[in-house]
Amino acid sequence: MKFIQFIRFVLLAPGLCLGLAHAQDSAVYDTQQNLWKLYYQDPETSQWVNKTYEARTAIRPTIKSRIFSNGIPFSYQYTVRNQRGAKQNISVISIWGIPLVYTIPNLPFVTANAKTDPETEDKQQWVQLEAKKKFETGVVQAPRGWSAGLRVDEKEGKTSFVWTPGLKDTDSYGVEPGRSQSGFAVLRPELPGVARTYLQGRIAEPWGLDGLPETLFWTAKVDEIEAQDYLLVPVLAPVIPVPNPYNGAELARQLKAHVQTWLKYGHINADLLTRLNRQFDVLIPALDIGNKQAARAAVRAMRKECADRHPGLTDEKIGEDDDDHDAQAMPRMPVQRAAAPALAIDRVAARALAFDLRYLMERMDAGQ
Amino acid sequence: MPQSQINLQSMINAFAAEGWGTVALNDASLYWGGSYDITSNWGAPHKAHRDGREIDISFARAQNPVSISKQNDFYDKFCKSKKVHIPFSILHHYVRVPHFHVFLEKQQACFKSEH
Repeated sequence: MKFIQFIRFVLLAPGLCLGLAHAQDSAVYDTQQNLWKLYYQDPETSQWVNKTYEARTAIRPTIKSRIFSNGIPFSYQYTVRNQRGAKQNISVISIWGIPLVYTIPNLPFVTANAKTDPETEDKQQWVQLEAKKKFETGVVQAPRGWSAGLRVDEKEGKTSFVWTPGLKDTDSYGVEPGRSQSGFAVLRPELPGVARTYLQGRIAEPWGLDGLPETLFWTAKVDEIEAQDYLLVPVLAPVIPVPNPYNGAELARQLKAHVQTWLKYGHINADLLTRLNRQFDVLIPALDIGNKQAARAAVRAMRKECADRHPGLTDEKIGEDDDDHDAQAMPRMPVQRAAAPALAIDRVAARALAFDLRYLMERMDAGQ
Repeated sequence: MPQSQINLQSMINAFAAEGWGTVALNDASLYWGGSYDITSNWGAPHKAHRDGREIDISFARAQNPVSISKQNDFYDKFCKSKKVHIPFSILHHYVRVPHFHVFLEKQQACFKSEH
């Protein structure tokens, strides 16, 4: 009996191996055509099929971010440019993962019981939605032909500002190569930090990764493709809440905590971070005990660290940053990172720090 | 299904923000529940419309056409943000009878259907 089983196995094994060798899931990126070539067994028909998915990174974005203020809130304004040589329009723009979920002032409560008084409950739901919408349109604004929205992830405690082209035929089709689009704006009272803008190109079939088999291989492969399917550009964004009631030392602590996150994203190198931290460790206790001289010296030293590395970085206008700098896409692949110039501090990060330190000094000099 | 109802209201609000007029909704559930047997075979394509958690939106009926050139923008708008919290997801049917099949709870994926 065992011998017969062995003979069967010997006869079947080559056939099984050939079958497996022929029918194997694959996803290969063709750099020349900017396409993912996918080969898989259709879950519905069981046929092996070839499919392509156009990568959404054939864009060449830069973003100019500026802050203007006549008090509170600050107006963060962005101009997105798609440089010549890009092959796709830019159609998804999202300032990603601001580590805050906003409290909506005077948000109407839903108090009625859905089972016992569904009509009242329904009305209250609509009133609450309207209040949320009003808040949203007061925070994030879009240029003509685009729409803006807040995407809130309450579990993660994060908010994103998202802009996409409108749905009417006369609306935008994205930022074309060689063109720029201004009018993307955020109005918030938080001080600037650095966030990253997620950008994707407009492709004919963004649903190209739908309908792949729900296997371990394809789940992992889709995650891998999506993780490479966008570019990131650093921008100034409302990240650092001003303590209320105001407390300079607490604000400096929050600024220090935000600056620590820059290392992970490559906005600063470890050496400069250590040097800045030394100054923060002077600044925070100085603000705590009201030692203005020591606080000023620490701030002066930090601003010099920024200015030495970015000539022309000034902050002459109170509450404004209108630096003319266009931030480029960050290197995401290891090869790109190796080729990118090693910066001690990204200019966007230097601008955020200079702005916030000036704010701290203004409030300190005003006796706060 | 209070959660479905809240999510449906939120979705209609999101459509309104995009400039849609009337949102034409149909086939959330039969009055007494049970299967919508529209093809007389007790199966697809309408078998999931059972208890108010899945609903169809016709964009042709309410004169909100999504032109072919804008389908990808629509998809991006309502599906690209799937990785952050949205309370609904959409199955896009653009061919035979153009409509969206909306999952008001649980489902987190967005798809374009060939049907």
